[in-house]
This record gives sequence, structure tokens and C-alpha cells, in this order.
Amino acid sequence: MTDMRIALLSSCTIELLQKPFAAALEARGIHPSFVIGGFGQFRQEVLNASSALYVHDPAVILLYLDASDLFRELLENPFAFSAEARHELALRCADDVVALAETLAEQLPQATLLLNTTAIDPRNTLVGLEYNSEYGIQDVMNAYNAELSALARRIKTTVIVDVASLAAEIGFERWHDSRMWYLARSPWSRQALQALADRYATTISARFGRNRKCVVLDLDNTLWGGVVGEDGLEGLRLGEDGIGRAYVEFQLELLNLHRKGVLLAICSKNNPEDALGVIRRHPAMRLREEHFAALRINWEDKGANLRELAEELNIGLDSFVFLDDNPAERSWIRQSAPEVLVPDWPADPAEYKIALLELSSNHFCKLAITAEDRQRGHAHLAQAERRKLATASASLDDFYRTLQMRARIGLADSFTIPRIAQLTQKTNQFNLTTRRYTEAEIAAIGRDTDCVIWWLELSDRFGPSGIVGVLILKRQSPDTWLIDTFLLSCRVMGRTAENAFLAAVARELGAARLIGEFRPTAKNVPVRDLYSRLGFQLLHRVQDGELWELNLANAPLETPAWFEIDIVRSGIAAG
Amino acid sequence: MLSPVSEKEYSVDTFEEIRTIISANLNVPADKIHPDSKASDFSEWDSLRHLVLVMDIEQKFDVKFSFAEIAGFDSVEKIVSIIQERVKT
Repeated sequence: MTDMRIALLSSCTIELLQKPFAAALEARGIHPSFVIGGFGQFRQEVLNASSALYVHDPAVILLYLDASDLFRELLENPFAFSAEARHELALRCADDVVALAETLAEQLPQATLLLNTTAIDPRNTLVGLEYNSEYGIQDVMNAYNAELSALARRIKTTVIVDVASLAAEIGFERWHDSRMWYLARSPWSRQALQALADRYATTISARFGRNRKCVVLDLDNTLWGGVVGEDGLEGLRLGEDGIGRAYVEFQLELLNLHRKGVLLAICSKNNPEDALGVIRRHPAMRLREEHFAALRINWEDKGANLRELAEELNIGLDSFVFLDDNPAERSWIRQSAPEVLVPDWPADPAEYKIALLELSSNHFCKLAITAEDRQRGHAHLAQAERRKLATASASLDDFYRTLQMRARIGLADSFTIPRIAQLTQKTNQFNLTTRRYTEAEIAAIGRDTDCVIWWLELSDRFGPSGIVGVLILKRQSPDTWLIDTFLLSCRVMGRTAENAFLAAVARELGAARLIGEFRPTAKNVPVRDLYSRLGFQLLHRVQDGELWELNLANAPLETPAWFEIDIVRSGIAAG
Repeated sequence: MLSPVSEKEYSVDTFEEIRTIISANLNVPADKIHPDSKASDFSEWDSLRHLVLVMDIEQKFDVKFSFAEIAGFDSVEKIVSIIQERVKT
């Protein structure tokens, strides 16, 4: 459970959101403590430097602005507003919000601000006139929402939650509760409150890097209609007509997940030749072998297969989602691998695509796509090649040499900060201190003149791995540095990259002494003795771990001979 | 335990369910809630808790109250009797 301080501010009454929101957060491993702004007091809370908002110092500020409050006059009498007046109104309202967002970004630079898009009840007086006449309301909403989007792209700590679409999903009839509105100026029905709670909780969860990582798929009657072992490739229902199209569209959405950096894997009870035959040769397949990071096609128990997949992909079982049309298999996996998410799956393939999209909005909600995300689906191909090479090499040193590894290291800048923050949030095994940082926090550390943040990018003869390592050091004295964060992506463990990285950074800093911190967790056992292996001496134990010391004059860090190292000298760009 | 203080006949189940909902919402022990309890008996029963209470009750009994009814729920007795009327129809 992570503790998190959250502020709820609103133009209307937001109290009723608190209970469902807290429950949705707890279900995602976040324990919130709330401060709730007074009714309609959101401007005062933001502009008054000593308000309860600032005292609370939240990690997340949820600012909900209702269209009825923002655009009251327009909604009461849309006929009083010409097109120009409407345009001005939208921009004026947006400017107001932008000013608040800028104040918050300045005063609480570490906090994430959640802003909502606005929607109005489509049952209004302009039915028929909207789009056909000089009167309108939708154009104001669209212009305002567009300004919010521009704001979010400019101020990276702002995230727009598309509440307008959420209301459309549910339908305004079920979204708005007029009794609650008239009684307490609380706009939402119970159903709306639940939907908002889930969506906001998922957004926060996604913001702090807690998405699932891999979808494991069955094949027969999941990726295609029919059983290949019985119906043969030609007998399968997969194509442009009828229910075959439902499977195609399901695959297309899986492909979109792949494009967002989610891994796909197969776990199917089949003869490998039959199953691979379909994947390689069926003309209507949209997913091909290269889209799958790992395969387990055999007659073994799926629970054991899942455990093997976790091992091969080097991720935890709690990163998996398991989709299978067979309720018995689903039930078995729920029992034998309870950390795996096994959603209920519709019996009707016509519903597969929507079920996947709903699942995806909850567990694969991405707020940004990094270059590594786009590349992740292909990384496994290079990894397979590396593994083959490893078994062929006579010795480890030989193996490292044949990899032809090149390392680039550089100082964090606005370009690399997102990936650095992502790594601090996701890396568990090769992580000496497991400190989780948001992008804003990394930027703040970067601006501190007594701190440095270095990234490591690796490539070898099989291809690039992207940024895979982070070192954050804090100066203790002119030539002594404390290692606050030292992590490597599990993809590049076991290749002495850590030696090359630390040696290069220590040399760049001109450090005479390094202090390494180790905080043990359940998952970072692989680096328990890292500092010892690098030649450090144990200084002393502290409350949550150990401090190690390296005197570089006596025990210099060796850069392994099989690395070529480039140092990119740049710095933190503004913002 | 229930103390029968009114001549009206309550379904024991209805009252018990309402008592559970009120107790959970106000964070007040169930035995402090009686058939003749009024909203004003509890400092925790403020206007917003009232709304959450109403939504929970609506969901539990699958009913929908009018604005006037919600505004008028100032006692346990009123809630129970309106629900019983609805359930009959």
C-alpha cells in the first residue's frame, strides 16, 4: 500500500466522490488521505498560499469544474451568444483554468493536476439548432476542451481526464442526478460517482506507473473461432465475414496494445505446428509470430506455463492478464496463480473487442508513449538472439566480447526525464534503493546543484535497448558522492553494464569517494551483494538497509574491456 | 434489541437493513439506532451523509425517491414507512 495525499477541489460539491474514490484507490494499492476544498472555493484554495491545499501538500490535485458552473449564462440563454461571443467565452474560461494550473505548477511543482473535459446534457434547447443555425453550445465545449489539451501538453504535470467521454459512455440520463444537484449541487448519480472514482483512480495509477505489462492469450476460440486441431486451418472462423470479423477486430485491438508497449504472449494447449501454422500462414491473422514476446504452446498445465512465461519475460505474475474463452481454465489460473488478473470473459465473441477495450482502460491506461514503449514489442526478438549466443559462447568474457556492447551515458534532460522516471517506478530487481520518482520529482532533483542524474543507454550487435540504467548521486562533500538511486532494467542484467556505468560516472564526477546505499526489498535480492562485488566496504547498517563505501584512490572502478563508452555531455533543459 | 415503541407495524427486516445502512454510513453503533430515532439525534447525520445514506438505501431496495421525500427523511420511521409503501406497489 502506498500512502498518497490528494486534494479534491471543485466548482460544485465533490464530497460524495470521496468514499467511492478512496475504495477505488485502495483496490489499486493506494491509501489516500484527502483534503476537500470548500464548496465553490477552488480559486481561493489555489490562490491563497496558506490555504488548506498547500498545508496538505498533496501529490495529486483533482480539480473538477462542471460545465453548469463554467458556462452558466450560456446554458441558461444560448440565444444571447453569437459565434464570436461563444469563442471568446471558451477562451476566457480556459485562460482562467490555465492561470490556476500555472499557479499550481509553480507552488506545488511535484503535484499532478487532474482536470476534466466538460460535457453538457444533450437534452437541451438547441436540439435541431445545434450545427444548423448560428446558435451553438458544442463549439464552446470543444474549444474549451482543446485549450485544456494544449495546456496538458505544455505543463507536463497536468493530466486531462476525459469525463465528457465517460458521461457519454454511461449516458447523461444515468449520469446526472437532478435531485442531488438541487439538494446539494452534487451533479452525479451513484453510477456516475462509481465511474468517476474508477477512472480517476486508474489515471492516478497509470501516472505512477502501475499498469499491468503483459496479456497472455489462449488461441482456439480466443484469437480465432474454432479449434485448429479439429477444424484445420481452413475451418477456422477468422476473416471479413460474420463472427470471423469479430476475432479480427479483437486482434486489431491487441495489436494496438502492442503498439502502446504492452507485451503479448501465448499460452495454448495445442500442437505447436498446428497453432504456429495458423499464426504464420492464415491470411486473416493480424497478429503474427513477431508480435508475441513469448509462447507456450504445449499440453502442459497452464499455471506452470504462466510461471515459465514470467521467468522468461523477467516480469512478475502480478504483471499478467490472462484471457481464455474456457471458464475452467480461467478458474484454474485464478486458483493456481492468484496474482495474475483473470477477468471474466464474455461467452459471445461479438463482445470480445469491447471487453478488451474496457479491460484496457482499467489496466493498460497509458498517459504517454515513450520510444521504449514503441520498441518494447520488438525487443524480445533481439533478446532471443542474445540468449542463443549466450549458450554458444565458451566463456562469459567471450560472450560479453561477442556482444559488441556500446554504452552511452548522459545527464538527464527534458527529453530523457520521462523514461528515467518510468524506470524508477517500474524497476524492482536491479534497484539498490527502490526510490520511486515522478517526472516532476526527477526534474526538481536535476535542478538541485548538489545532485546529478545520469542515464545509461545500451546497444549491442543485436540492436538497441534504449535507456536502461539510472544513477542519481548527491554530493556529500566536494569529492564524495552518495548513490541515491542505482538501477538497471532487467533486460540488461548480467552483462557487467553496472560496472561500466558506475565507473564512467565516477570518472566524470572526479569522485574520490562513493557511498552506496542498499535498501533490501523482496525483489532486489539479485543486488544484495552488488557493492561488495564492485569493491565497496560495508560502512554500517542503518534503519532500512546498509551504507557501503568506496575509496577510489585505493580501489578504482574498472571499466570492463568489452564496452565501448560514449559520454553525452548535456544538462537539464528548462521546464 | 428492538424496543417496540410505535403502534405501526414494521417489517423487522426493513428496519434491520436500514439500521445497518445508517450505522455504516454514520459510523455509529447499530444499537444506538432505534425505530423512533430522528436524524437530529446524531451529530454525524449532516446534509452530505444524508445524501450518501439515501443513495445506499435506493440501491439496497431498488427504489427511487423524489426530491421532497429525500428532503423529508428526518427520521428512521419515515424512511421505513416510505420503503414499505413502495415495496407493496
